[in-house]
Amino acid sequence: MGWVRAAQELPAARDEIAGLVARAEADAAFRARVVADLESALASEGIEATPSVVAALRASLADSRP
Amino acid sequence: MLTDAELVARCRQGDAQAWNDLVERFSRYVYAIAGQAFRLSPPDAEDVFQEVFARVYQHLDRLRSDEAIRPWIAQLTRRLCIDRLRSTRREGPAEEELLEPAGVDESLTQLDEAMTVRASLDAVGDACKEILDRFFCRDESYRTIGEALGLPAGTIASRISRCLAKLRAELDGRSEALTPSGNR
Repeated sequence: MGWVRAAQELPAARDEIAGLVARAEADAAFRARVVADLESALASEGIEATPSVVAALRASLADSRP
Repeated sequence: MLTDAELVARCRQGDAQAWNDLVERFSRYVYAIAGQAFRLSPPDAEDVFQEVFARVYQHLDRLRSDEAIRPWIAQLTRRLCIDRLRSTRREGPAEEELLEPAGVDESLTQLDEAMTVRASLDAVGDACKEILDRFFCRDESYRTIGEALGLPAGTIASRISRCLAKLRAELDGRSEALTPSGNR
């Protein structure tokens, strides 16, 4: 099942997601852009917006400081 | 085979294979909760599925007891399914009880039991697992099983009986371990 593979690949995307979240914490305008369109934000950083990566980014942003 | 708690501990240490195994072990469980218990559409079930594992990965450090991974995942999946149902409602917000399809608790109990049996089957050894799977899941006759495993058909019944006893002991051990008197 592709879903399983996607979820298993989460650790590989961890650093890229962490980088995006760190930028979002430091830059409110960037954060607003990311929150408004997670897929585009990932694509503009050259990260493939798989459902698992989008979900991981959403979860990380929810935990981060606005 | 690692226990759930051992698997969680290894995931915390950054063991990539352990994470793969954890996803594999709970993938059907999460999918069944979303698809069978909450009757989400396949796209919604996939979103919930990915969200569940993203949060598990994100918050694994917050789990108070490594052994509690399964109920934690179940609760997380349940909450995310309710959020999904709420977000797709045309009318206004509703109470959780109104959003949950009828029979969710019963479905979750059945899925939990299936997970426990599956884990116990993994623990009784490949030979027993295979013979029980062939007889009870694939509904194969003694003769078919005997031919496949190179055993006389006459010995299959006693093998099944021994393997069932082993499975029962394993299941009893698991239920004892989950009760307060189980020293865990």
